[in-house]
Amino acid sequence: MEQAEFANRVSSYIAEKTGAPRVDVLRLERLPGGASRETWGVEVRIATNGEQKSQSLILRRDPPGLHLPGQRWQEFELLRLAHEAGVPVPRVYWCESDPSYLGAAFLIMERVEGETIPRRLLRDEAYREARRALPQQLARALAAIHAMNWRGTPLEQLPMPPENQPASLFELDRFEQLYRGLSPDPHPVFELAFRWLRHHAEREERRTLVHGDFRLGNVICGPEGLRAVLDWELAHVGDPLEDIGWLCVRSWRFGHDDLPVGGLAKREEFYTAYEEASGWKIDRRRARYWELLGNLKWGVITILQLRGYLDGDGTNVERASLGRRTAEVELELLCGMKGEYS
Amino acid sequence: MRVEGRSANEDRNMQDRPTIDELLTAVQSFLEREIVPRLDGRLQFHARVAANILAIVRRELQLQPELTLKEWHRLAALLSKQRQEPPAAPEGVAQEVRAWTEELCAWIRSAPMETLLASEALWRHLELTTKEKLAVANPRLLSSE
Repeated sequence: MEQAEFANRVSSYIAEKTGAPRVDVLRLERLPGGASRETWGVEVRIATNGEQKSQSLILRRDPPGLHLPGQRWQEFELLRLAHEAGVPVPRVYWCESDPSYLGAAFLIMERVEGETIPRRLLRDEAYREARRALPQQLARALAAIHAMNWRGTPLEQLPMPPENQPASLFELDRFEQLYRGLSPDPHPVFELAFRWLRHHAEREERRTLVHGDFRLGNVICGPEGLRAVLDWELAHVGDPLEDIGWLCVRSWRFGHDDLPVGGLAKREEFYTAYEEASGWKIDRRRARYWELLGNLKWGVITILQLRGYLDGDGTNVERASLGRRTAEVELELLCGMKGEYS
Repeated sequence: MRVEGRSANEDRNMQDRPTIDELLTAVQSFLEREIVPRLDGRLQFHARVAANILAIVRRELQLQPELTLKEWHRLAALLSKQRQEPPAAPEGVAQEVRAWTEELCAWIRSAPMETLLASEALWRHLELTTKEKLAVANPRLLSSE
């Protein structure tokens, strides 16, 4: 579909949904990233009863040919319910599974302006105040996510571990399967980490909605701090400590190893803020267990990216170098297992 | 066999100087000093990554033969191999290290957890092997410990 035709179809869809007599698409641009889902920035002017209103929107569409309306609805419901629960997220307006409009299922939401690149957030002078505020804000957002009611809502369709086993085993199964299917090299440290984490798995205290990829890079910030939590594709039901452990994975610190929580805060500062916001006490040892599991997951993801490089055209230097970063994760895992999370 | 005091380059062929390492150094410095400062954004980042890849290649050429031999000896002891001497050809050593590492993985998957936790030789081997990989891939990480 040509861009002009695409813009026409978007404006008539919005006109149909809003009942506005006239909707003009002022700008339509494909935004970088999102290989599994196209992301478009759309500027529209909606005319109603002589009034004109401009709006910045984000349109996320399944790639043509990969029609997954169920996943669009899941994202829509997650964002809608998260907003109701007080989690800072973009407002979602419409979700469409009828492919006759744009060739595939899509979702239209508010465009939240701000910075998403972690290195800038951690380094630039403009975000000094944001860095001070973020640990508290992230803790509150996470507590709100974990307090979301999922039983009896469409969120019951999300991936969920079997009732009678620890949620961590469910994660380990998924990632061990990926590792076995993808790794071109033997990794004895990963083998040991899988055994070790299975051996130390414990049933979680509570089962909640888990964001699944909560870290800098997946949030939008302004100079004042957190504006919106994005990237809900990996949301599932499980142990809330999974999100806390994942936020502390070494790779998200971008060199600020003295500040384990995303390069922003010490663990205790963040744990305490989360406890105040949620009313739940964090079992420190189990939070560190999930941190170790998070590092192992990241290690498997470096292999996944290496696989992408090996199966691709072999010209991307960034991807080429990622395979050699797997050993960094192995060192982190060995230290974590030996020190019993010290 | 390597002869003491001669570079790998001199061993393998009769090419004139510069050696492989000298050639790679020239390209690496060219990228770092001339190219990176003249670019910005994504291209600058990729040029920096490219220079770093050359640094990895140089360290691997320099260190790997000795590191692979060390790994061979550790694996032979850990897996109770009856062999005293590694194969003469470097490729042979590398092949055996790979096969034995797969054997080690199979052992880790099947051994009782108590045995794994108690095996100091296993943990020592994994720690050294990981650090040897990092000596090539990212030695800064080792010095910061």
